[in-house]
Amino acid sequence: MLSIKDLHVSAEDKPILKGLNLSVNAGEVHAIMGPNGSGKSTMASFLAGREGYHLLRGKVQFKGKDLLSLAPEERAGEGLFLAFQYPVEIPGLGSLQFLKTALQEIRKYRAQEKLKTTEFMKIVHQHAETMGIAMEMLTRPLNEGFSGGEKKRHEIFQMAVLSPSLSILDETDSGLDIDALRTVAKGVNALRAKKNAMILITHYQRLLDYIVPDKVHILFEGQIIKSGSKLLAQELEKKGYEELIASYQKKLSDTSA
Amino acid sequence: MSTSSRLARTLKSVQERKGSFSEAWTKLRKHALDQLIHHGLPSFRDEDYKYTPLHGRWEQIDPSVKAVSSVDGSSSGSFSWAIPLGLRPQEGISVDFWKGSPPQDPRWDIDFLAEYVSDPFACLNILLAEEGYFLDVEGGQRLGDPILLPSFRECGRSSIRVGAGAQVILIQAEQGQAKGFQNDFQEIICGKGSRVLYYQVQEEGSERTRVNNVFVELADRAYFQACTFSFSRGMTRNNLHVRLKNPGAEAHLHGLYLPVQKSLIDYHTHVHHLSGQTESHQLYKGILRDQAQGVFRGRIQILPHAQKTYAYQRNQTILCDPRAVMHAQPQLEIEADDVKCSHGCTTGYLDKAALFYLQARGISLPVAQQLIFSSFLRELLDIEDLRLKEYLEEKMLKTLLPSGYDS
Repeated sequence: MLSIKDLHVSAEDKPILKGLNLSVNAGEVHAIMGPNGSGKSTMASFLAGREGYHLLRGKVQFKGKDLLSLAPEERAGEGLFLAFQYPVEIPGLGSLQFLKTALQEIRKYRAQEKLKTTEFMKIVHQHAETMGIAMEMLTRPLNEGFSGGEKKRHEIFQMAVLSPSLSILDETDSGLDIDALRTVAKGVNALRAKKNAMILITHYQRLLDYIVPDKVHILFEGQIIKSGSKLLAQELEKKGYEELIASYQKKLSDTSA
Repeated sequence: MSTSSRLARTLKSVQERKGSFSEAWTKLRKHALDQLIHHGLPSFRDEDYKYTPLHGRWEQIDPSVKAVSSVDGSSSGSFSWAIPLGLRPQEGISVDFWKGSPPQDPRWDIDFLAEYVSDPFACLNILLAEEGYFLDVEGGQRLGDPILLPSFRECGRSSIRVGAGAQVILIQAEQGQAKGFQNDFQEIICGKGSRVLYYQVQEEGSERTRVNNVFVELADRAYFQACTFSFSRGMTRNNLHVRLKNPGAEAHLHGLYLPVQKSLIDYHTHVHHLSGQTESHQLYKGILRDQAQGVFRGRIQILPHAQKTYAYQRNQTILCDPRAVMHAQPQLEIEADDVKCSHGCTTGYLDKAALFYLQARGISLPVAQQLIFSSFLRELLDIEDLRLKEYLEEKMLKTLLPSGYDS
């Protein structure tokens, strides 16, 4: 579904991603972990098409298409979804109007018919319930006055309504208390399916207790330095990044010597 | 031709103008003429017209053109639900149209008018007005259907009086006028406990210059709301002067401006709290595209004895183009001490983070912009007359979406 090959990306003339390789297949859940500044959020934002990054080298294929040649809305139309680390408040824009427009625009991109309001509301009700989102919250302007937990729950709710094939969750667990984390995890797990894939970006292993990944990758200085099963996350939680990074650097100096 | 010779030509033709004027009008005309001769026509050196370069547009004023009234009463165009003024007799209102010289009429309050000759265009209107009307709404009348006020081609002058306790909705729409210079003067006197909703819809063409002077006076407990929606393509100057004369008077002034290309939309408001326990709210918001310009100068004046007064003002603008320019200037003159006042002006570019958020959800760039803009402007569309609201919403969305895009 997603194939990233030798990706080099800079921001403000500073290289951030330095040869990233990643391959995600349908049905898989990948976790990407790494210390601050390792390039996790850059990877998420860059894949979604945010401005301000510069591609130096590399290729990204999404469902056989050259992802980087597409505008952000086209990427969403192709089925890519980014759950934002910091969802944006848009004063005056009703959540439902926003979601309906998004869904209609995606359908338009896919040359599908417009969705009737009743069908749209059916989808909304169904997922609002799973995510514990009250209809009252949906009548409020998008993210305006939402608590941190509400914003994150709303992101996953949006993900459920838009039903993407690849979801990238950028530190969705940060700032969540344990109850909110459980709700978010429940929502995410409900969306796991054979035809869908997910990339979870996180600092902590805690989220992975609730959403069990198929693969775990450690990102450091813009490269994946180690990949493994869910056990890698547990190992990391015990030993911390330092030991892992030290052994990586040792290996690096050994090969160059 | 220089500005001064143009002025001389204009004034000459004014002096030559024949007509019988009452003694009071003659006095007022003399006063206006003296003012114009003394101060001349405004240029960029005048604080009040610094950002509104009307001096380049004098050639569009042609006093020799005979007024052709657009008042035919037969059609109300886009505002079909409103009743065109004077179309048929309506219970509770009386209308007197006039043409030629302003008639001798006790309803002209010369002293009141004399206070406003400081504005050069108000002066010019006194000298040049050739058509207009008196509209009287009887006290206690509650008119449900909005009244569509007539528009004039060059220089109209109208006087609206709303009796005590009366309720009325007025729509002043300017559509499809492509060229020329229009200089209107309108006075609206709101009686005790009256409720007046006054909507202006401006959709003029790109070569049109328009100066719009509206003077409003509010008696005890009168409620007045002015909403000016400007989609003008030319140069539009809106002067709105509101006097809150007695306790309990409340004024809400709203303005929405969406200039494009090289158009300029200018709002000058002057809210004058003459009495205590009066309240004013001003909200002006707009989006500037291309090389468009916007001006907001909001003056709030509170006299020393006008205690327990509330006066609020907010002006917010989004610039879509680095070439677009907004001039915002709040001006508060507060001489009373027991008052609540606030003002705030913000001008900024479109929030890129918000735009990306919407795009990342699959919303294409033009639609995403339209959503952000319309959300920003939404609070101005809280309009009681639902048909007008619908009309304006549609007009706004159309203006905000690039042409040829079908959402």
